[in-house]
Amino acid sequence: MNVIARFLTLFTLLAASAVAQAPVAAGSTQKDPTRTSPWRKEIQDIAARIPIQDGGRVKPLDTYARFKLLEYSAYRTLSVGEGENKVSLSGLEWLLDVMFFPRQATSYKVFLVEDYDVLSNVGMPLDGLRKRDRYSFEQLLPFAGEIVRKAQAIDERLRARTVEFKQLDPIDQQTFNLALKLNEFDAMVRSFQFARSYIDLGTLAPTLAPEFGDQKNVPISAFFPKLMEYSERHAKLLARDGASNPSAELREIDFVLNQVLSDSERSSALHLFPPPDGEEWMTPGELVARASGTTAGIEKQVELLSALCAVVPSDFLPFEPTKFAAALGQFQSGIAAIPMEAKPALEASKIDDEVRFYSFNFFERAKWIFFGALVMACVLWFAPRSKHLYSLVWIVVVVPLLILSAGITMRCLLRERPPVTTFYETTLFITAVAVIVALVIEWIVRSRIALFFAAVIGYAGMYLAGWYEEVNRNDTMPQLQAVLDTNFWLSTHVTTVTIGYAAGLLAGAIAHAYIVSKLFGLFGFKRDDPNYYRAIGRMVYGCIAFGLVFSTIGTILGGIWANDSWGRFWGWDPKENGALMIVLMNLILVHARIGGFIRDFGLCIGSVLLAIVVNFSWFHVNVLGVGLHSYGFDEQVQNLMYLIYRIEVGFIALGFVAMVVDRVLTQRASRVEAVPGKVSN
Amino acid sequence: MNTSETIARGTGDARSPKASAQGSANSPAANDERSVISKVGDWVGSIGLSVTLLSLLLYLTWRGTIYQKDYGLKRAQEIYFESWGLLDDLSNLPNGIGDGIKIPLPGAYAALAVLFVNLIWGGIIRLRKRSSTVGVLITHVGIIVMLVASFVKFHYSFEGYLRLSEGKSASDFVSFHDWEIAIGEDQKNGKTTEWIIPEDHLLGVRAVDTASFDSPDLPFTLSVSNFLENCDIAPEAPMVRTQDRAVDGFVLKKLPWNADAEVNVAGCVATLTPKDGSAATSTVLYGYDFGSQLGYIVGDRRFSVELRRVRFPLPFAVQLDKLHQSTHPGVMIARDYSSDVTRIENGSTKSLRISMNEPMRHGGYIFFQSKVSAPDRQSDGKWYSIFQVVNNPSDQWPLISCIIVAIGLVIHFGSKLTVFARQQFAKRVTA
Repeated sequence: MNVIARFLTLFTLLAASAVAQAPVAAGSTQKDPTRTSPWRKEIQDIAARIPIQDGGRVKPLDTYARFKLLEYSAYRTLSVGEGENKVSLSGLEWLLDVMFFPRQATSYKVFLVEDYDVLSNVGMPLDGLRKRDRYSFEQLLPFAGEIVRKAQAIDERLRARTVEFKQLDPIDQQTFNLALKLNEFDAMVRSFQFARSYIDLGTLAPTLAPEFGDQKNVPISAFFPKLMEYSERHAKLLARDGASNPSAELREIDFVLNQVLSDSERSSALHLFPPPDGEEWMTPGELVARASGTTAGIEKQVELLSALCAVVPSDFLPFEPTKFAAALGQFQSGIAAIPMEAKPALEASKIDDEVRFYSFNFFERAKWIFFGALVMACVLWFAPRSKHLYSLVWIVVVVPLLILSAGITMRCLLRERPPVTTFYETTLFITAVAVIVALVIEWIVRSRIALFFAAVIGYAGMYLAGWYEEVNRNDTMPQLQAVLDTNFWLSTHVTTVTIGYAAGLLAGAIAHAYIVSKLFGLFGFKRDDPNYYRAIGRMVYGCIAFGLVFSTIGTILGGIWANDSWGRFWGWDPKENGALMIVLMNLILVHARIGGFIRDFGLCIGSVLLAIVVNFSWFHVNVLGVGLHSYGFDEQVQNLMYLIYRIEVGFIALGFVAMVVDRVLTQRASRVEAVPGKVSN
Repeated sequence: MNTSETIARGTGDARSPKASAQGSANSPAANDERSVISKVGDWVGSIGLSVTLLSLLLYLTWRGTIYQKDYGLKRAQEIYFESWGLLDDLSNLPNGIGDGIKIPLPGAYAALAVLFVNLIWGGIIRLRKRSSTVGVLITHVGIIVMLVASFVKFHYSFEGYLRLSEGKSASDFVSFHDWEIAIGEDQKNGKTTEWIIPEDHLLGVRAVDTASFDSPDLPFTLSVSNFLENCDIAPEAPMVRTQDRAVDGFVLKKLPWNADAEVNVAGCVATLTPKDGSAATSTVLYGYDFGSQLGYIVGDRRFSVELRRVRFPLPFAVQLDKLHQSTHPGVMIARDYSSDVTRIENGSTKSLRISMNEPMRHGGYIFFQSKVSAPDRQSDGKWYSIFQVVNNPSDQWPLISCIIVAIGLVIHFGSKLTVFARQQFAKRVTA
């Protein structure tokens, strides 16, 4: 995170909070209305497809809104209102309120504060507050000045490089991030605030009034097309009159230009306008500022902004959904139609596809169908002879697998990348691969066990993906660093090594069935069914062999990529070490099995250890904070890791206990068989 | 081929009629001897040893990974991955569960060396040569190629970086973290003759406090003391601790070892004692980029003494013509780093582009686009392009290894899977 770059505009929030308790009304004459009816679906459909540049790429406003709400609140939807008036807003509805009903939006409790010490440090009384809670902009605004001052002090330490962000005290980290969010939100609610400003030409600029049909109050957006002309006139008049003796016309033009620019400059959050040159899209404020110099190349953008501003609701202009939808539709189609030579060129079809992708909610759907399959697979244990149920479970596992695969494919098409480029995508891909491998095993062995684990892994993987999204709270389709910008290596090394992860996890999962069965076996379950255990042992061994092939090839390919990128095949980077550990663990199990040091029971206990190693490599090395693959995850991920280790080590311990007891029981049984006389009683 | 045959051929005794006769004369000593050799052979090539070594490597890899978090990669490599042996201090495990526990272990270098022998003996020579083991054999060959490549890389490669601003050229590059003292003498033809004291000798100074270096060609003896691997330099002042030795108005203040080894800056005190008996001269040498050379004149000979990162000469020069860098719009995520360079060799020039994932390979050297760095006074406000430069004789061997291993694994496990699946389907048909 480039915290310093993001911090540059923070001072404006400090200024805003110092000015008044009502920053969003800092303009001249505007007032904000309140939305009284839900956003129409028609408006939402149009708004969702408005392109916006964020995080280095052009994305739909819908995507932007989803992840912005998630980033602020850790919620995917936001509950607002009380009692009967309580409604749930989607990310897009929330953002539309922020843009067009800002007063209302500032009352939404959207800012998650993980620890209320952040608030007590800035002087907020903690009476009645919960340690972790959400607050509205209105609630935080009285303390915004102090929050920003503390953030600035932290920023100075970061700039002086006396400390790194990850080394900061958690309260300082949260204070800093809260300041950034408040600042950004402040700019977001001002996105169209300037559109509510009016200039009283009758009183302040009578000379210019005839140019606007002698209107008394002229909306500020009406001046946008004339900005360049006014700038030129201003320069000529200034040259003619001089600064010391300005004419009335010069004074009025000067006033209008200043008013327009100062009102619009704080609209600095939403990059909605493609530039005529370069790559960085413009915010409304930047567009207005640019238009005051020249409108060349941005005539269309200015026209679209003016048209949209004309329907922004205010106390002078009530909200008319039909007119608003029409203007928003023109804006959306108008932006999409602007020709762009510079990269990244906007592909309207991709915007639509991305909206569809998120609307369909592939992975959430897959999760719940997998859950259904899991329930059915559990029932199948109690009705093992039911062929119909068996077939049904097959279908209910394959359907979410197809949905998951379709979602992954759509992401590939949207990003023009192989399936795995980010950590989030590893969760999707590993789940899909593990389910496929489990189904292949089931198809060969037909023992119901692999089918059961296909459902387990499918649900767990999808749950993990959703959980990670909520913890990470960032766009899951980010731009890639230069060194990762190689589809060849992403599609070979990353894909291969990730398949190795999937196989290791599947082996570990199936091994649990063996250990649990043996534990129950102490009480008679499947005790006389060696084929059952042999089948599980073979499945586990098959997964290990499969994983060994892919993890070995994938790890070596990673080394070859590193050799081409950084000049060394092996750098002992934690992620590389993690991959090597998986290879080594697979090799240990395979050789120990071949050498007769372990049998099926040992293999399964070792496979649980393999699952721990895979978790270490997949998740844990990323939270170590060192190496080239460090992602700086939340502490929650680390805590989850330790929880998994404890559970798995418990399983291993139980496995050993079961193995010892099983051996004793087996030996006793064989002794009893060897003495027939004793059996006869 | 059974084990006893192999051992006999290895020793050469069994083929000798005399030895054979002796061996068949029921000599208990000979039998015992052969038995011991046989047992050692069995053990060296055994799967048990393989499993032990692989387990040890797994443990060392895990420990070295955890160790990096607190002590950095360089130290982790030295202790766990490149050593023959170590005393593993478990005190850095979470929740203090390993406090006070130290375990003596072989290092990864030793483990890999034994694994190499184990693999050759047990995985190649003694492996039963059947159609079912072809895949295993191929895989083992691939792993051996990998081990050989890593051995060659470890012992015979060297690497460093080259930092160039636009318009500048260089015909050498510097190490990331190794230091040397260079004594240079300006020659009349404009060239410089250098005497180098490598870091190994300097590190020895820590133990003996002061060490002297001499050459018959030099008119003075150089004594080095107080060598510090990471330190700061400060002017002598009342605020500075009195136990720090002040030399020539400056004091070296020892700093803790930085886990990011490239950040550490070495320093030492150098004393030049002329051989003609005149008074000695002392100064502080500090290894930061701006350098702190000690100039010294004896008669008409002009010398300089400098503490610097190890320099590696190149057989050609590289000039940076144009640096390209771009980020994704609106964010600080790097999208592209690349450098247009001219390679100058024996009077001929060649223009090339070096970019991320597309290095320049020439004359045994590989130039990688590593990163860019901000301008400073020396670069006239221009950005620097930083290349990682590597000379590695086994550069492409891992690729060969990967191909061999992949073929071997696919043959072995592919055939196993096919057989297993056939059996399962046959069973189902029978049922």
